[in-house]
Amino acid sequence: MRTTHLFPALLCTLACGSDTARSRINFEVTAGGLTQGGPVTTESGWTVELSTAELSVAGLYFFEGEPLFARVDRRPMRGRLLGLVIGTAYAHPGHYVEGEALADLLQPVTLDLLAPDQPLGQANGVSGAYNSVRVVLKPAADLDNHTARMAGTATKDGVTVRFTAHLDLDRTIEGVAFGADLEASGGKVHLAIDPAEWVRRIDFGSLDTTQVVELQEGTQPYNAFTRGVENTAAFHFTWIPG
Amino acid sequence: MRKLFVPTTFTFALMACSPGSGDVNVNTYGEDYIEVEIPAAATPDEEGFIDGFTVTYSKFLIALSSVHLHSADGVEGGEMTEQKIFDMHQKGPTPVHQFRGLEAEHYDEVSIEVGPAKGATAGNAAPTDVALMNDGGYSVYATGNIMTGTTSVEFAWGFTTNTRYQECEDAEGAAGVVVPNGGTAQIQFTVHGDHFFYDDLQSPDTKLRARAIFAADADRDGEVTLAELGAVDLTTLPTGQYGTGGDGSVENLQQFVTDLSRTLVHFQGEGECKVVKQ
Repeated sequence: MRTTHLFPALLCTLACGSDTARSRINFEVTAGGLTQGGPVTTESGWTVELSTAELSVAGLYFFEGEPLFARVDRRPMRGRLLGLVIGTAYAHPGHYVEGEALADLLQPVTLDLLAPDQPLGQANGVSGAYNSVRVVLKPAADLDNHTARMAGTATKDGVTVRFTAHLDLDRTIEGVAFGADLEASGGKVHLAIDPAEWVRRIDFGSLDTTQVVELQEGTQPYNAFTRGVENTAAFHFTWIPG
Repeated sequence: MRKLFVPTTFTFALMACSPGSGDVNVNTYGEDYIEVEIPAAATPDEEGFIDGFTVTYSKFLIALSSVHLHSADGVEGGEMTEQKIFDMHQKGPTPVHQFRGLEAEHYDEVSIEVGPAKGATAGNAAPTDVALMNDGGYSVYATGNIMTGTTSVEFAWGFTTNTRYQECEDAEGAAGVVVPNGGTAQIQFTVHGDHFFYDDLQSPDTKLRARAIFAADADRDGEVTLAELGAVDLTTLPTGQYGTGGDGSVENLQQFVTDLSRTLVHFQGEGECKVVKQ
């Protein structure tokens, strides 16, 4: 169910005996950049201005489970009998449990994170407590088959680095925090993505200053960029009542 | 002549209204991963370290307190208020507490705390280890070695994190514990020693790795310390490893394993609790 449409799961949520009565809802989703490229000071003291920051989002899945360190699993009880299990500890998923699927939006879109507000489409789902989101990132044709792309300048102590970077990730970002009780249609969800997270941990001091440099895979700058794109802290979901 | 007990209507009414009482035995268990070894995975799809390492704990101390049972409809079960130190490396399961004469009820809210030791007493830990925990204010203290081939490094990590595990559910999603009338229910807080070696804080596809931790022994003295882990910035590690999931503030391996120290306790084997930072 990781990349397939959640419609069957949503139907089951409506009809399979959930403890909570659900009603069908739909809502608009918009997205854009949070800081829109304005000057960002990195951890190592570089001042970065972005001229390009684009991200391909292939889908959003909304869940009831809360993200790491705040999990509330509101799944209906599958049984009330105590079952004592004593066994060997195995490596198993982290403590984030997504819980019930509540809504999805599978309209691929390439976002300009230097702009504030772009339509993503209509999400269809059911009412409930929306606590987390899965964000699917995939390469897109209109992004030259990249998933993310950025360009800009970084300046420190009179030294300027001009850089570009791209990622070709096919990655699912699990457990992005969201907190809203959606009971009826109307209103919208806004996703603000902060490209400052993409550069915050890059050490620009290791890069060539004589020409525009492309961040190279296997280097700290590329690694920091990748981790920034994947960082759930870069994604900010907000419910705006209609 | 034996007297016959003849139930009256009043007696029947009492029997119908009283739920009776039962007991709860609480234990803790470190399983083979803490008691014996975390093995290397024979194949990428099997359990164990995917990078060929093995980990053997020599000590795994944990401070347990505030075991609390209550029901959503307001029935108070009981609470173990004292703090006890357990060495999960000793063979278990080990008794933690007994609740006697609880109202027969479904106590769907079960919780436990793992917090800094302060005036804690011995669960099954040695007196010197209890003193170690109290003196250091540790909630978790683990020692052992990480081995690859014939090379190994030791570790001795103490954590002062304070974590409450609440709203515990078993692996089937059943919340808490049902106390039967006239019977005894079992609760096990299962401690998962492999979590310290997860390579992601949140991904369902997390793997066990030790290479980066093994290599963190910067002074090559045969012991990898938390300070040495703190010197390993996650951005210097390969992408696809040590993802921080929902906690973007984690930037180095020390912070990473410290976060993992808040995920050790499970319920009834593989069941989960809501993890709340205190």
